[in-house]
Amino acid sequence: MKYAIEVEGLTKHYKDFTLDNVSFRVPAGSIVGFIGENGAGKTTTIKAILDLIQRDAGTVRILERENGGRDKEVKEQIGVIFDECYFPDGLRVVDVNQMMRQIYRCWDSDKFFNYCKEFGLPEKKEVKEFSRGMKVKLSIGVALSHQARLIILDDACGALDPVVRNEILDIFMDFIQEEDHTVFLSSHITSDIEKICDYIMLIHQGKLLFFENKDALLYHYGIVRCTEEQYKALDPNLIVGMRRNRFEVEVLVNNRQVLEEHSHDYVIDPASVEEILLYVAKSSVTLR
Amino acid sequence: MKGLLLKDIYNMRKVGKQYLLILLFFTCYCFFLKNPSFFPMMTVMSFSMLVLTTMGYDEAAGFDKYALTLPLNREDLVRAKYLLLVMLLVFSFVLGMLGSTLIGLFMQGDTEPILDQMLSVATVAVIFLLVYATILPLVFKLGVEKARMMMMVCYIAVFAGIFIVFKLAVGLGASGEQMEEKMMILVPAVVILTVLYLIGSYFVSIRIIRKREW
Repeated sequence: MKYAIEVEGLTKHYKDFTLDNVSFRVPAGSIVGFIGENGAGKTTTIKAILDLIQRDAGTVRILERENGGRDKEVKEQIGVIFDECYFPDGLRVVDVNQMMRQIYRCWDSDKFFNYCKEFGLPEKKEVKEFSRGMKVKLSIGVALSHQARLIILDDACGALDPVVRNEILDIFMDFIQEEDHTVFLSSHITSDIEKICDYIMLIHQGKLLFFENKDALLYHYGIVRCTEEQYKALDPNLIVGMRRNRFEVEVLVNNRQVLEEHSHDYVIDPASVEEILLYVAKSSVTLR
Repeated sequence: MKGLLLKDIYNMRKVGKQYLLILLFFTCYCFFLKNPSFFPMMTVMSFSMLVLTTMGYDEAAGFDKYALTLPLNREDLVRAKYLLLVMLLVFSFVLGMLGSTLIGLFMQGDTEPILDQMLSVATVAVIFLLVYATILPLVFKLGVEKARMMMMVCYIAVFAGIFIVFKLAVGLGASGEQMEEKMMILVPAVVILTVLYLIGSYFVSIRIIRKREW
């Protein structure tokens, strides 16, 4: 299997935070959702992949090249979209086109202007007059107009309204139709992740808790609503996280099929990605 | 690299009108002083400042972080700014000389010989090149705002350096007349030293940007 991103033992120490020995591989041709609460380490991971920060340990391969974040050839084939637009205020869409024509070898002006038209971005208006959503759309237009094979998004969809977000997700679904096209999507919006991703990875307090196939994850994980006694009787290996309220205990389990086989006393509901994130973030248990 | 320079040129459009007004003011002031040599000196000074202006725009937008996700490397970011500085100095030198010649023609009075004027303006350009070669590594290290505060220190350092070199030359027995004779040696020496200083500054900036995190 080919991998678009391969990260091994990635470590970065800050005064009050450590990205701790993170390892994962993003299969080429897939959409991988990267979730975690604020400050969990998503942006630090992306910055380390893109060589925007110095790693303390670990290796990064992008599109099968060691330290791809430093490699111009690799960067020709990557599109990165951050949560903000970093074009200076005085630039206009036509200026961005001229500039990118000089920067990317495979820059496609027609494609870029088509995206800008589709996104409703005025060609002659300066970036400073754009709303935050329009600025992100401009970055998306740039990322999709130079024959990229890998798109990396760092919380970019948060600035967009649900209608536009839906359109953008459809564009990414189209993008992924090419066999070797990959999307690595870091987001807080778990519904988006659930909608389009093939794999989901969850980071919590600088540690990668899991990297799972989405369908398998949603198939296996479940929420058990039970009494305190029933909770105590549960196999600890199945428990991922739990929440207590006045009336019952809610437990996130990692294999509801096993539980259903062994006992019919439990009420088990399927778990959504959002619920998995909430339970895991609260309990800090490493998933298997 | 070309893309980065293009971006800076687009960015400078913002101050285009202000600069036209400034040039108009310089022109009027030359007529008032009855001395066209003021025009090229002020042109060189004000245009060289634009390098910091563009860095300020980049910093405000966080452009460098984004630029490093494009097919550009850290060295390209430094290279583009040094190239822009040299281009601005050359452009302002040419514009200044053209302006001063035109103003001189309109004045029809006694003006400084063109070669002497060129030498004076080139000296100003060299001084500003030295100032910005000192300040650019600081900008890459500290950011534009903090570095701007240190600009005055850089000016003093450069002027003090020039003064010391001049004093040393006089101390070594070069009198006014001898100095003129030694201009043939002095001018290339200044050019070589300035170029070496600029290259040194460039490599310091490269070292700084290689360690920088975004």
